[in-house]
Order: sequence, then structure tokens, then C-alpha cells
Amino acid sequence: MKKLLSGIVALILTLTLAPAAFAEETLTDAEIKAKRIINLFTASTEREYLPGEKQGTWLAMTDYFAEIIENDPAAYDEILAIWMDSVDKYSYITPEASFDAAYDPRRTKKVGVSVEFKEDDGWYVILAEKNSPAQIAGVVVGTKMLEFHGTPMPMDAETGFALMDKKMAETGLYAFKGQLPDGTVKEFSLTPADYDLEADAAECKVTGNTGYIRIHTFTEDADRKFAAAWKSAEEQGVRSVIIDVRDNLGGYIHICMNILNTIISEKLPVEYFQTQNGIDLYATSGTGSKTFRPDIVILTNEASASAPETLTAVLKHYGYARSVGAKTYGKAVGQANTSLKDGYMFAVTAMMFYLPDGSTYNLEGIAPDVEIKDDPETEADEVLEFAYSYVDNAGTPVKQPSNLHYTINLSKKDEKIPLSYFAAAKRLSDEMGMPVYYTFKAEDGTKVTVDAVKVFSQAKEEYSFEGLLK
Amino acid sequence: MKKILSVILAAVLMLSVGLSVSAEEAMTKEQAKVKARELIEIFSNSTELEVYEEYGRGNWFALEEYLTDQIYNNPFIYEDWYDIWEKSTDDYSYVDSAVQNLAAYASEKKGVYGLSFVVENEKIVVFAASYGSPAREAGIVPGAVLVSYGETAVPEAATQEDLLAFQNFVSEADALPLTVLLPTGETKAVTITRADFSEDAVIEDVLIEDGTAYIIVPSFNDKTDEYFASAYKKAEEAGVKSIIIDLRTNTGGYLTPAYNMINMIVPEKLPMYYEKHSSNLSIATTDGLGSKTWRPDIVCLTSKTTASAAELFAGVLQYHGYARLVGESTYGKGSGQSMVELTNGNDVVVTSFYTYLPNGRSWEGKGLTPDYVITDDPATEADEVLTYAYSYVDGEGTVVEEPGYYGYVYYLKKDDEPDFIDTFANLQRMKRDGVKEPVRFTYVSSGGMKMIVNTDDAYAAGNIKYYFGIYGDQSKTAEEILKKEGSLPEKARVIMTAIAGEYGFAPTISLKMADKPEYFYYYDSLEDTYTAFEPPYVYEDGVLRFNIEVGGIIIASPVEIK
Repeated sequence: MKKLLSGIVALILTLTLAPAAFAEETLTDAEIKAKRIINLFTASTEREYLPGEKQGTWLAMTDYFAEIIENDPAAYDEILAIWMDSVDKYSYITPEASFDAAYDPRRTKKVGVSVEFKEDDGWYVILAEKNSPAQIAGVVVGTKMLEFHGTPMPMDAETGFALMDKKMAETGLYAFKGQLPDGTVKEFSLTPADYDLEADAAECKVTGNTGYIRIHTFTEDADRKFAAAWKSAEEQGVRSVIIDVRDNLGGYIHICMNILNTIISEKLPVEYFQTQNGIDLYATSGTGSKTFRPDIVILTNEASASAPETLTAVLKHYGYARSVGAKTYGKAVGQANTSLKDGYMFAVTAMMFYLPDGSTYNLEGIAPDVEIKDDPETEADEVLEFAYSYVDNAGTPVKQPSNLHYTINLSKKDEKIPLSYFAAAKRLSDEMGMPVYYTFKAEDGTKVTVDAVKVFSQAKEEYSFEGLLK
Repeated sequence: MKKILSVILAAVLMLSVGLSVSAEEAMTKEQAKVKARELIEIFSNSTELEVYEEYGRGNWFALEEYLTDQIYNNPFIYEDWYDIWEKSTDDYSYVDSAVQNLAAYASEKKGVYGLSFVVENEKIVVFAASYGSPAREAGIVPGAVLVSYGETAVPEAATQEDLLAFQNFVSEADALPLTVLLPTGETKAVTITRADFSEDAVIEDVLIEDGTAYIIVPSFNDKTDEYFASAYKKAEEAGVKSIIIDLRTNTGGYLTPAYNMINMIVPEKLPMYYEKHSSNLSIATTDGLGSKTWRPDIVCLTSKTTASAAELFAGVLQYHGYARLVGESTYGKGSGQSMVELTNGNDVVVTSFYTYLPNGRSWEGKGLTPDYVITDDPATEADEVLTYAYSYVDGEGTVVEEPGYYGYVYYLKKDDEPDFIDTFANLQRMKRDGVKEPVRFTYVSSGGMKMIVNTDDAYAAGNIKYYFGIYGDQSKTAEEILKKEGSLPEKARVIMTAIAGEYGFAPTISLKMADKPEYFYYYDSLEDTYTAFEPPYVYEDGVLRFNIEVGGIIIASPVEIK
């Protein structure tokens, strides 16, 4: 962008609204005009910030959209649909309350069961939540619901749900007769209760020399629960720990970091996040127990996604753990959430994660050291059983590096490297008391390694691969 | 923004894009506005997704297709959107062809008349007649009123439409037959032909008389500084004691020549000006390379059309006492524009920064006030302003001392307005380029509270954004902390804890309070203890004033608690 103090010239040259001539023949007039409007609005967003009588382009757009939506409410759906179509599957918009509820493992006054009506067949339990009254009473997924409060289940969804709502409202009880998948018929009478999906997350079940800890999600106080379980494992003197992250769909990154810090006793680079504005560097604080260094085996499956993948990848990367089960899901992108004015919030993919060596498990997932499939026909958990035989009680010696080193991939050799990359390194270096090195890797395989803090002290507006080579 | 690793939950929740209002129900204006805001927020906040094209097409690309459809079906929508842009930006923002823009800023004008017009008091008036242009040669001067052109007479009450019609005529014609009414009352009929000329050539025509050089600087074009250097050298060689720089017809242009010209004149290293962009402050100092032996007295002539870069030039010289201004108050444009090229070759020019003198004051909307105010009488042949200037110069030259530090003041518009690391990176570079330490940057809150920042410390903190009061704190400002309830010592503790928490090391924070020694603490963040400490203070009229120091550096001064 060229800068100029344009004088009053703008006042004199009246705007020619009609575009004079379009250079690009491949684009239609409408396409060029559309591009031009997008450019206009995008380029002038920063005006909003500046003082003056004018209202700013985005605020003006609000008035425009408000008018359109008022006259034709369907336009709102249409534009929202465009947004939905153009973002990835991890980006979405939802009422803030339901987002919070989805991420909260604590349930209030619920029986913890979900049923679904299958056409021409009947009513089936599709979810019996962990630690819920339903699970405790022995309701399992696949249970066929025959009667509700003594009334045979109607053969259509609407009447069925209405019946359940009515009886629940009258009695406060979720009472039904169900046929379990093994054929036995049983009466259940469930009282809604408060329960926590992760109630047993703070426990470490010990078998012989091996402890078993399950991490259900990476939300709320999962990190504190894990720390309690880990401490209990140490106190019970186990020599190996199995960490189960199967069916764990992730959560917050800071929870994952806290869990890593509980386990790892060295200061190690963990991962970096690349966003459009810069880089966030993550490293372990080196505060894990130096005396308790068990052999770790992680159980993964296709539904281990996001934060559990970070945990698995990092522990495996440094030889802290091996993994058993199935390949993980493969999500190394993160979302930024923004609250909207009307009680909605939206999450949009805004960052990508890379391991310290610049590699990513995105899309590919993390392959287990030994692939074991659970047989759904049997009661037994084959993966867990194998893990018990796989642990070797040998412990994990890991060497403390003298610096923190991250490899950053450049998509193009002449890509501009912003100052903020090095500011992130400076902050981390101060925090950890260690130098931070960056290796920039260009698309042609050439590399340059720099002391990021020294580069930061140059205080340039931006850097380039060639400049760093010098 | 909360950052999360959200995962497949997104796919599972699958989104009730849930509309509380159905299509049949009428929507109130307020409901529509909320939804509109929601859309805007979604689109503007998720622009960053564009970089990750492999994960989706990106919102703006998608919106482009939608707009294409809409415009295809109804071309007026294009005009609608364009109109919104125009109405919401300031007078200096516009869209134009790149060719025209370049022509406006090149000093070498090719095949033009060198005239521009505005509508003023229902007359079409000559706004500028470039030096060296065919129009100027023909005797047309700013302020002349257009009576007729070709066969067309200008109506009694002229409008913008009339101006537009005239401009269309101008752009078609190879020769321009005009009748104008000059400010002197004389009616003049001329025919002007297009010609190539250099507007800035006039700079070199230095008039040297009685130890005074008179230099006209008509604009700030790409080569203005080169011409000025040559003129300035001529004046030095002639050994003049005073210089009159005429900026009366100068409506601005590029910033760089103005910057270079200030550097030619000033032999001290001084803070020059700063630019405030939405995401950073860009700071300029003089490089101190001007002649130390030749220090003429300078008088700049200004008028109500002296604008923009010309105001910066005159304003900086006046601020440091290098020049006095004579003439009228200036136009008052302290804003700058950025140019972005569009797909069809046109440029969008949009106001994107404001310039300030080192004391944080802007001439935007106010103009610069001359040291001596005098207006030219249009009815006379004589140039009263210039005549006065000749009598005003004193030939004594200017002596300005280098300050012990480089001070800049920034007035925050809102107390939670962030500053960015680029500001401090800027200052680090200046230091490396030989600018004396320390560079003092003072932020002033809307309540008048000042905070002097040690810019080395601020840069070393390595944050992306900085907030008034506390380095790196993303949620609190010093004033917010002060607003917290509690007794005086409680408030002091709150401030200390907040600041200590930001430093990550055991800072020595002393709250210097007066005759209340029990309120005086030394805080050790490692021990998390407060120890009574001997302090200086000010406590009067129920207001407690003290400084906050970290590591011996005052980071907030004075803090007041009522």
C-alpha cells in the first residue's frame, strides 16, 4: 500500500461511478463489480476505528442489512447459509447457552438417556450417559423401550415424545419397561439427578504394577482431576500407566497443557499455533514429578480428536509414551469463539497446530504403535487387555534440551515473516529461561535456523527468509 | 476471544441456525438490526479464514458469488453498496482510476491545463492554477470565477451538476475557451491549450533580494524535495539570512518529500511527528543532518488552502521554533489516506491514519494558527502577505537545542484503546539509528491520567497489544483498577498486585504516598508480602497522588486516588 497525504484533491475529482473499462476479459461485469465492492469494504474496515462524523463502513452495512432483513427475513437465512457453506466443518454458529452446556460435563436433574424412534420398528436407547441414573440402573445403548409408565410405546415419534413429556411432568419419574440387547426384559424407574460425566476421571484404577486413567474430555476441571489421578498412581507405586483417550472429542488447549505439565518434568517445546496474525508457542513448564516417570501407553481410536491428539503426539514425540488402538481422527486446527449480541456465538477455524518439528497430524491422524481393534461382539475390551500386556514398566528417560526449538514451514520462500512471530519467542524465552530457536523451512527444502530472541532485538517491521539467511 | 480446540462437537451439534422469527411474521427494525450486526460480525471476524483455503472457500469469496448473483439480477444493488461506502467514509476517501491518481501526484504534468475548480457560494471558482501551467501563463489565478466556457454560460446559481458538465467539456476539449472574472474585478477571455509542464520547476526560481530568499513550494509531489534541495542550496550559497517559503497554494501530496525537506532544514535530532493507524503508531524523528553553520530565519506563508502535507511541514517547523507562519489559518487536514488497487485497475483511496505533532496535538479540522495573521486583499494588485513577510523576517536565524530525550504524547480516545508492539519496535529502530535514549512515550487517558512508558521495557515484554496502565494486561486498565471499591491501602494493594502479576519477576514497587507511612509498601512477589517502606507522597484535599515504579522506572505518574 502506498501512503499519501492526499491534499484536498479528493474534493475536486468527483467520483466516476461507472467503471471506465474492465481489463480482465475472463470476468463478467457483475463479477468485477462484486469484487470491487468486497475490496472497498475490506480495505476500509480500519476507518471504523478512526474518529470523525462518518459512521464507518461496517456500521453503515448494518443499516443496509437491517433494512433488507426487515423487508425479507429469508435474506438472513440466505446470507447465513453462505457463511455456513464457506467455512469448514468445525466452524459453526449456535446459541451460547447450548454451547456451554455441550462443553459442561456436569448435568443437572437429568436421567441421562436419549431415545430415538425407528420407523416400523420401535423405540431404542441411543445414549446412556456415563455416571447417569440410567447407566447406574443398567440401561445400555440398544435397549428397546417397550412401555412408558405402563403404556405401550406409540408407533410414531410425535405421540411417543408427547407421552414421555406428559408422564414425566406428572410423576417426575422416568419409568419404562425395556428389552436389553441380550434379550432380557427389565423394568427401570429413573429419578432425575445431578451427576458428572467425569466423576471417575480423578481415579486411577490399579492392577498389579499398572494404573489406568481415563480422560473423558478436555473441559472444565479435567486437568485437576487428571492431576489427582496421577498423584494417586504415584502414591500407589505403579510403574506403568495406561491413559485412555478413546472417544474423547477434545476441548480447551490449556487443559491439555496442564495435563502435559503434570506428566512431563522437562521444559520441552510442545506445539505452535499459526494464525493469520502470528504464532502462539507452547512449551511444558517442567513442573512434572521428577521421581515418578512410569511407562505410559495411550489408548486411542478414530474418535480421539483434537486435544487428545496433541497429548498423544507430544508424549510419543518425546518417547514418554507409546500408543495402542486405532489411528486418531486427525484434527490439528483450532477455533476462535466470538459472542454475538443476540445470545448466539460462533466458532470459526482460525489456527493450525504444528509439532515442534513442523509436522502436523491434521487429516492424517496419529498411527498407533500397535493397531488393535475392539471386537464389538464381545463384552471384553480387547484394546485395554492388550495394553495391560504391552506395558513394560521400564519408565521414560527424557533429556532436557538446552533450548526450545520450533520448525516453521513457509508456504512460499518470499513469504513475509511478521515481527509478532519473534515477540512470541521473546515472551516464551523470558518465561522459560531458555533461548528459543526457529528453523524456517521453505517449500524447496532449504532451511535457516535463527536465535529468535536475537532476531526480535532487531525490531524490524517484518522479516524474510533471505534476510534471515544473512 | 476464547480460544478452544472445539472439534467434532461442531459437526455433532449441527447447528440450529435457529431462526426465532419465521418468514411470515413481520420483523421489527430492532430485531432486523440485531441480525444484521450478527452477519457483519460473522463476516468481518472470520476474514482470517481466507488463509486456510483448503478448509473452506473463505467467507469473502462466498459472499462475492452471492453479490455477483444479486448484481446480475439487479444492477442497482451495486450502486446501493457503492453508495453506502461513499456515505460512510470521509471526504478524502474515494475511488478513482489509477491513471488519474498518478497524474494528480506526478510533478511532470503531461498534456493538461493545470486547472481545478470547486463550487463555492453558487459560483464555479478556480481552486488551483498550477505554477508553470498554460492556465497560469494565461493569467488565471485561484479565486477567479468562471463566467462561460465555449458556447455555454454558467448559470447565476451554479450547482455540482454544472461543475460536472463543465468538467465533461474540459475532458473532451483540446482547447479551452474560457471567460473568467478575476479577483481584481477584471473580466478576462482566454483560450488555453493543453501542454506538458513541471509544476515544481517554480521552486528552483528562487528570488534572492536583500539577504532574503523567496521560495514557492506549490505541492508535495514525488520530486518536490529534489527541487527544494537545489533551491535551498542556492539560498545558502548566496548567504541569505532569511527564507520565505510560500505554501499558500500547496494542498499537500506525498508525505515523504515533506519529511525529507524538514530534514534538510533541521540540524538537531528532534521528534518530528507521528502517524496513528488503527493498528499501530508510526513515529518519525529528524535525522539531524541539516546544516549546523547556516541557520536562516524562516517564515512560511500560509493560506486557507494550505493543506495536509504542507500543514505538516509548516507545523513541525513552527512547533520547534524553526519557522514562524504568516498569512491565514491553514485548511486543517491531518488525515492520511492509503491506496489499494482494485481488480479492475481502479484504486480505492481511504483515510487510514492521522498525523500528530509530538505533543499529541493535531491540526485536523482546526488548521495551524499563523504567528502573524494577515489576509491578501484580492482587489489590489499587490501581494500584501508577501510584502508583510519581507518586513517580518529578522535575519537572526534559529537556534534550537536538542532535547535530553525524545518525548511524544498520545491522547487515548478510549482508555481501553490498545497500542501495538509495532510502536515500540519503531522506537527500538530509532534507537539503533542513533536517536538518544530514552524515548519517552506518554499516554494520556480521557481522565487526564498520564503514564510515561519506558519503551525498552515495553518492547522487551513482547506482547502484541498493550493497554494503558499495565503492560500486557488484556482485561484491566489502571483506571478500572482504581475504580474498585475499598479503602486507600486496599486500592494500593490492588494496583500493586495487578502490576506485579504482569511482570513475572519480583518487582520493587513502591507506592509513594505522603503523610500516611502505613500506606507505604514494598511488595515482594516471590514472598507475596507487603512491607512498610519509607516513601515520599502527596496527600491533599482528600486526593492521594503517587508514582508507581518498577525496577526504578516510573511507569505511572501521577496516580490519583480520591
